[in-house]
Amino acid sequence: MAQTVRVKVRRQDEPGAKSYWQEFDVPYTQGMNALTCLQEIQKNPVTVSGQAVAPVVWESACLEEVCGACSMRINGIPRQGCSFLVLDPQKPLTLEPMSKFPVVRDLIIDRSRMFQALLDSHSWIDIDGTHDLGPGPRQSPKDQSWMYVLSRCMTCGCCLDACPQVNEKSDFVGASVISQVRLFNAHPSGKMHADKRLDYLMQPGGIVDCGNAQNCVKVCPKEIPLTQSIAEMGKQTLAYGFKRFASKPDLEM
Amino acid sequence: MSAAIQKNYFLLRRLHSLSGIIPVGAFFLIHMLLNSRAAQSPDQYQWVPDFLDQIPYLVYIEIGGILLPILFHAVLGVVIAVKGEPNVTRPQHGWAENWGYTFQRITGVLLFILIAVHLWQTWWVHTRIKLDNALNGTHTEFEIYSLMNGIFVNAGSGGAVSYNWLWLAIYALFVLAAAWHFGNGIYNFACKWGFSTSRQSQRFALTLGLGIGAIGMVMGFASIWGLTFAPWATAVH
Ligand code: HEM
Ligand code: HEM
Ligand code: SF4
Ligand code: SF4
Repeated sequence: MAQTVRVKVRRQDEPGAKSYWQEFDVPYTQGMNALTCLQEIQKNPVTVSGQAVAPVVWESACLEEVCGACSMRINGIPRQGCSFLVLDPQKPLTLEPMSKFPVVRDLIIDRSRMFQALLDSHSWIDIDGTHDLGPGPRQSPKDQSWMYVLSRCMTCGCCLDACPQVNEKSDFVGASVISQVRLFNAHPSGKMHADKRLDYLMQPGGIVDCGNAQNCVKVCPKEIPLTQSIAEMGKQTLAYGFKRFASKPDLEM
Repeated sequence: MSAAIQKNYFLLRRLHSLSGIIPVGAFFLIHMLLNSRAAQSPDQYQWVPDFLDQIPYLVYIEIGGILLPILFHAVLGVVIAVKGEPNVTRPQHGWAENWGYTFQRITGVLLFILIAVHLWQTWWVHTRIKLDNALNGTHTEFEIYSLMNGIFVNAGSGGAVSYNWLWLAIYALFVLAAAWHFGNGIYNFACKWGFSTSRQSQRFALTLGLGIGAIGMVMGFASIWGLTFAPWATAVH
């Protein structure tokens, strides 16, 4: 008989329902990843004890670790199912939904809070006008290269899942949006709205709620230097805080 | 959350962070330095309160400059600590910095209790003597060495002494917890305020912080030695 992989899945039938575990054995194929295992379960949704169940549902889109949709906790660590290769069929695979977001069903979670944070923090660049604004200011290749690293964030939520400060008792927004503010505030056109973004970071749940556990940077699949971004924004919010307190009202119309 | 806290949240949290360094952390180092005079002689140790008592308005400086800032740092610290959800025990989450985060909270809550007990045992005793003297116009010396010595060493009959291991352990833990909390706190402070952004400079801040904490720890242990195990510690009985 062909080799199989034991897959343990934490399932949940609907939002707010109690979760439960189910185990499946799926045929092993070389080079398979966590999502392949889920596809196998979908083909034959029968648990190890022979019970036919509803197939496990998950979300995925790009299958190349750039969209973040298939983020889940695999063997306890938040990461993308598509890029987790099953190297050793002997080792059981544990799949759980990420822990800091409302579960929709099984492995599907709702990351709306992260998208809302990007909106609230003005994490975009205003280029649309009623007329042609012309080309923007030039950027040095050096700036482009470090900003490119920050721009790789796919809002996958792994950094929130691992962060001890992100939980139901706190409003902390998490590392990713702090890093995005750093990116857009460094952009020559984005700079024009820098204050707005800094105001956002200085609210309750903002940058001061980071406890420097540095888990975020360890789990980020895009290797974004999150703790460096947090420290950098800690500096920028401080400078801006002084400015806001000491001189800002006079500068405004 | 009240509107005032909401509006000044950033300031409040930055003040908490700052208060850990100045005045609380600075006090810790000076306190350990002065206490370590017990490792020289009881007279040297007595010099400390005698000298400090010459400072005008001392009790107000103590309350406003040390006790209230500690209270502020401690109360907000407990609020911060209970709002976190440490997760070092999750599979594969046992990174060093994550342990640091967790210990910062555990030692914080521990220090809250230990400092309360400590103030009751020491500062309040001394302050009561000063208050009594002021009210009754009397003059009683504050015997600081025998106060602390009495916590650690039990006088038996006929000059025999025994050590009070429970209090010794509690004070050793107290010094360790404060030194570690302060040392790791220096590193957190450097990251939070943006003094250290790069990985290398954050490493440096951690080494520096733990080094400073270790100096406090050595001085603290020297104090305990001087109050308990030094030749003059048992001779007073
Ligand atoms: C070896 C360990 C220690 C010894 C022997 C010791 C001894 C003393 C003594 C004798 C006093 C009374 C001073 C006076 O009123 O004149 C005192 C006060 C005090 N101690 Fe300690 N202490 C130790 C460790 C610590 C630690 C680790 C902390 C935490 C940071 C601490 C915090 C304080 C505070 C806040 C006061 C009140 C200071 C004031 O307002 O004047 N102590 N200590
Ligand atoms: C009395 C009870 C105490 C409690 C409950 C407490 C609690 C805390 C907590 C929870 C943090 C982390 C704050 C954050 O992540 O934002 C912290 C940071 C810190 N604490 Fe304490 N602490 C106490 C006493 C002390 C003492 C005695 C010292 C000095 C010896 C000290 C020095 C610091 C420093 C330097 C920091 C780093 C500031 C930062 O996070 O930016 N704390 N404390
Ligand atoms: S910073 Fe990294 S872990 Fe966080 S959302 Fe972006 S890509 Fe994911
Ligand atoms: S460094 Fe801050 S944001 Fe990152 S995991 Fe720790 S507490 Fe969360």
